[in-house]
Amino acid sequence: MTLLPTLLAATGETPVLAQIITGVVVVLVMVHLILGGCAYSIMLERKLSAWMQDRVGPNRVGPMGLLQPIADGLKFLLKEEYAPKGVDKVLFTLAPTFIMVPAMLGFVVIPWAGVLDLSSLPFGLSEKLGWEGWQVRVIGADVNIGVVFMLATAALGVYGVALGGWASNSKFSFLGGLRAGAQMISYEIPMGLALLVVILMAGTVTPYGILEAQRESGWFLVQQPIAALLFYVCMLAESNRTPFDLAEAESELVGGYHTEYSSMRFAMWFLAEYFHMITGAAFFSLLFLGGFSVNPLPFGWDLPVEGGIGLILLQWGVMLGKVALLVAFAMAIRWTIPRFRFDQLMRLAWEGMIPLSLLVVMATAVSVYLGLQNWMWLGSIGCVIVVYLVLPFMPRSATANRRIAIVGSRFSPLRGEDALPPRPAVALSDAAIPDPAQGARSIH
Amino acid sequence: MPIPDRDIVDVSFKRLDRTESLFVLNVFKGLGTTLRHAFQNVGRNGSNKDTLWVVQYPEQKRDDRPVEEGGQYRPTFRGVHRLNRDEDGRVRCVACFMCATACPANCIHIVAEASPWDDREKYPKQFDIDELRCIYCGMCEEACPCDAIELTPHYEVTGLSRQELIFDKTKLLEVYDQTVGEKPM
Repeated sequence: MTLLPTLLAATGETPVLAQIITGVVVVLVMVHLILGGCAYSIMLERKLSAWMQDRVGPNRVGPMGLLQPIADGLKFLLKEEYAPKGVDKVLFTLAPTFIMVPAMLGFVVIPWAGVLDLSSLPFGLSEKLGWEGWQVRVIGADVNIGVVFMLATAALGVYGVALGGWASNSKFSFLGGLRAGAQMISYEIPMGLALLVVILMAGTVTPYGILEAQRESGWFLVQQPIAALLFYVCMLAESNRTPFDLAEAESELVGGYHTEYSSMRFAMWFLAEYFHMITGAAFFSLLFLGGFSVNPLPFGWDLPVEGGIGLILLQWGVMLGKVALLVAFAMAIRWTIPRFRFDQLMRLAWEGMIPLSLLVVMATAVSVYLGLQNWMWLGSIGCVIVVYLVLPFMPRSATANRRIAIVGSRFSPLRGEDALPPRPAVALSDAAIPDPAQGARSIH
Repeated sequence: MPIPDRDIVDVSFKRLDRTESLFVLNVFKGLGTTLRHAFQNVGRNGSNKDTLWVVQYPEQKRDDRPVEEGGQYRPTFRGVHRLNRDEDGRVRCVACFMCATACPANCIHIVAEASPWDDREKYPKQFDIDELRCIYCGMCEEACPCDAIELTPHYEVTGLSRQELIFDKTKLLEVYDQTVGEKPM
């Protein structure tokens, strides 16, 4: 019993059991909400991409096409579960769950709202059950390792991709899995460093501690815009979204790691991608957008942390709204930016994001040491200026030889004076060679 | 022999300047373009004439629109065939096989027979057009010396089997009876 209170720290006089029950309720509600949300975010993505590309998108199934995800799900259920010859049956079946479960695990440590006063439960429930005056936190499990747990589960996601790629016994899947592995290793580092910035600023790793720190110093998006940007980019990379979707690059690898999958197994991959995206968005709003806070500045009015069921629902709505906006933003980015080449991807991580995140970590560490962490917005501007000054002296990639010989080519971009005179026509038959001077054109 | 310099072209990309090599601003510039399109189209179900104006097919049809806005130009539209009748209600076709010869898809099959009437030698005993093979090029219409075969503006040719969509002489004459009002011969 000594372990439980630390794992599920309940507030004040509230027994641990009440906190556990709340946690179970929150997890059950959120998992189902988000599984439905995944289906509908697929729908949203199809609609958004359509609008961006001047198309209409799915609009036939149900009013405004709103039943499309259900039709898609039914179709996935009814399709044949096909496994090609030579696959590792066990791993092939397990791989989609290996990617799904870590994505779902991360949800446990996300605070969906503040502290709920159980006295405010409707129908006089609290009096009947003797819960009056008890306060519980609206979170799956208020684990004291908080965001570290989140980082751990996020990193586990790549096992599913790598396993799926390996078990499929297909070169395309395998390449996709390899790419995902390399990408994950590269982008874990700036992600961890951006997270370190948040931990430095907050001085704690517990979710509520981070939220409390953001109420005092303003959202970390305001204080640490560079770290926020780095974290968001890493989040896109971790969930294998364009421009970082090299693992499934359909123009190169057919479907990447899920090439050989069909039916519900494929749907699991698909759901997991969106689940990852929603998890990432929730973590981003926890770490940088102050969770259920509505005021990004360190001063001024904000939603209170503790309150009755009405306030909790409002906070929950604020949090969900932030998640939805971030997910929509990730979709907008997907349909705006083309995919990186693999060397560009690696360059971005190792030569761009990791040095930059190290710089930000250093600046934050110094300012926290000096007690100036509430001036980090100024420090971030300073970091941008440093980047601007240092950039011209950074090593550049070797330039490829882009000088192309165009001897006599009719595709020559050279015009006028520089253009070569047309070559004399070659006689293909006994017929007289046409004279270019007389207006006839050479075929060469 | 080295290639002389004048025969070489340099296709290097433009070097990114400092701001561009940070990507961030350009990403937002790109987002501006896509989001502008998204906001122009959101919730309109494809009815914004400036960006996309979609024909929601079963409910709306191209026939309903003015030609300048992408509507169907009925006088020359090439849809399902018909076999014309003359003033006496007889089939105009004289079974000359010109259409069958001109047809690039080989979808017209005619069986000729001696005509029961005095004004022509032959008439089609059987006249089948496979509407599924047909590519609606209109060459049969152009080849016909006596304006017997024509294409109508109707394009919704549906059936439950392939056999059903091989139109025989009766069916083609029926099409004439139905469409003669809107497209006189």
